[in-house]
Amino acid sequence: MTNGDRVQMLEALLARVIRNRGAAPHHAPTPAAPRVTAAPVTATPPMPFVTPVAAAPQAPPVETAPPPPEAPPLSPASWHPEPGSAVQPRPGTLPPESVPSEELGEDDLLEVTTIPPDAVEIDADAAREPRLSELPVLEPDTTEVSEITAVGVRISAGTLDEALASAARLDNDSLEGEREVPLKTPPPESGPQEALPPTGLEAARTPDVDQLEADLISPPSLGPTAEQLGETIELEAPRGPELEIDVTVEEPPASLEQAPTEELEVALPRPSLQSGMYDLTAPPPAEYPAPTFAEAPVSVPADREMQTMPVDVPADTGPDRTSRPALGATDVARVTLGAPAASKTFVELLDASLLV
Amino acid sequence: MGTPRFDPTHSLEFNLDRGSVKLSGAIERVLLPADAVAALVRGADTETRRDFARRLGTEAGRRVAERLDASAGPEAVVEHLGGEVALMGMGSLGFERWGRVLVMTVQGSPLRGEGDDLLAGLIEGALQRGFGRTASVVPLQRDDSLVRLLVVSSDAAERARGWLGSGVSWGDVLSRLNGSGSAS
Repeated sequence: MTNGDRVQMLEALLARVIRNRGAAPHHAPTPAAPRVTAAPVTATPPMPFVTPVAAAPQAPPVETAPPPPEAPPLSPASWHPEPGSAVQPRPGTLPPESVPSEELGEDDLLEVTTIPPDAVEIDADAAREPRLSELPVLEPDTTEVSEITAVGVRISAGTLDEALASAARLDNDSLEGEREVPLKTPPPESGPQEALPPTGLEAARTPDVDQLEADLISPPSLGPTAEQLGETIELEAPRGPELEIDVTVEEPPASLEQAPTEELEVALPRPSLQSGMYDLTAPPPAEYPAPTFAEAPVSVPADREMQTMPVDVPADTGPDRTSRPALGATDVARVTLGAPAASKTFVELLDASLLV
Repeated sequence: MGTPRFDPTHSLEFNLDRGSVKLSGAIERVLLPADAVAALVRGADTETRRDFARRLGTEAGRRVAERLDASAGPEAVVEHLGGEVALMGMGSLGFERWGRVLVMTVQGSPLRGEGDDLLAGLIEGALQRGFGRTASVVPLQRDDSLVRLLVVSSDAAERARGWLGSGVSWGDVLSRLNGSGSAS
C-alpha cells in the first residue's frame, strides 16, 4: 500500500466520519449545556477498566453501524446520560431508514458509538470539512492510531509509541484511583492484608526519641550547633573519667573449716541459791577437763653461744643522777570527822511546829 | 547530862489484899474495859472529853518532866512520854516530823477512832504540863491501827480542821501548813 492509497483511505474515512457527524445535531446538547472545548481524553475517566464490549459489541460489525445522520433527536425521557460517567449505553433507537447502509470492509472496522451530548462537543472548526493538505502525512515507520471508542473520538496519539505511553499513563492513573482498602473484610484464607495508612486523617506523630535524648544529655554548648555549621560535624571530646574495667579473677577463699561446735552447758543455779551465786559443788563440764600440768610441754631455752666482747668503760665517767631529797617521817594523811549536826531538842522542834 | 532511859520496873503495883492498882508515884488507878471507856467518852460532851483527856495528859507530863529537862531530845521525849501512855494502856506513841510540823502517832489505841479526841487532849495536857507549851492537837489521819495527831498552834489547828472538813487530804494539809509557815 502506498502513501497515496493511505491518503485515499483516510480521506474516505474522514468523509465517513463527517457524514456520521451529520447525525450529531440530533444529539446536540441543550443550549444551556456548557461547551467543552478541551479534548475529551482529559475529561474522561480511564478507559482500560471500561468494558467496551458491553457498550458496543464488536461482532457483527453490521450491528455496530453508526446511526444515520438523519436520526431523529432523542427525547430526554428516552435516554438519560449517567452523570459523571463517560461510558454511556447506546440508545435503543435505530437509525432512520433514510440513511443508506454502507458496507464496510475489514479496514473500516472501527468501534463507533454514540457519545452523550454533554460529554463531547466538537467545535465548529472541527465540524468543517478538513482539507487534504491539513491531514498529517504519515511516515512509513510510524503508525497513526486513530481510535473511536465508546467515549468518543479519541485522536490523541500521533504515533503508536505515544499511544502506548498514554495507555500506560491511563493504566497508572486508574490503578492509583482504584487502590483502596476493601470495604469488605477479606476472608481469613486470603492471608495477611496490607494495612494502608488512612487517607483522611493525619497519622499520629511519633516523637523522635533520639533527638529528645540528645537534647537532654548534651550540655548547653556556647558554640554553634552542627546544623549551623552546615555539614561540618565535630564530635565532642569524651566527658567524664575514663572507665577502666579491672578484670580481676577473685579466687575463692580458702576453705574455712568450720570449727566444731562447742556445747556450752552450764548448770543453772538451783532455786535454793540466791541470784548470782554459783554452785561450787557442781562438777565442771565434760568438755573442759581439769588441766594436767604434768603433760604440759616444758619450755626449755635452747643453748646459745656466748661470746664476751671486751668494752673499755672509764670508771670515772658515770651518769649524773638527781635523786629526790628525803622527806623523813611525817603524817601525810589527816582524817577529820565532820561536826555532828546540831540536834534540836524536842522543845525547839515543838516551838517550830507551833509557829506554823 | 545524859538522858535516863525509861524504866517501867515496878511502875504498876497491884495490891490484891486491898484490891487496888497503883502506879508508882501516882494515885490509884482503875482498870476499866476499853469499850466502856469509849462509850463513856462518846456520851460526854466536848468540854468534858477535853477536860478528861487533859487530866490524863497532865499527869503523864508531870512524870516526864520529873525525868527530863528542856534539853531532852525528841527521842527521849517519845521514850518517856510514850512509856507513860503505854502504862495507861492507850497505845504506842510515835513521833514524826513533816517539815516543821510535828505529828504524834499512836499505834494500837484500844479506843480506836472513838478515842482519837481523847488522845489529842492527852497530848495537849502532857505538852502543857511537861514542857510548858500550849499546843493544839488535831486528829489528822487514821487507819485501822494508827492515828496521826497534828501538833500545831491554835490558829494552824483551826485552818487544818477547815481543810480537812472540806475534803483536803492530810498530805495537802501538811504541805499547806509548811507553805504557809515559810511564807510568813
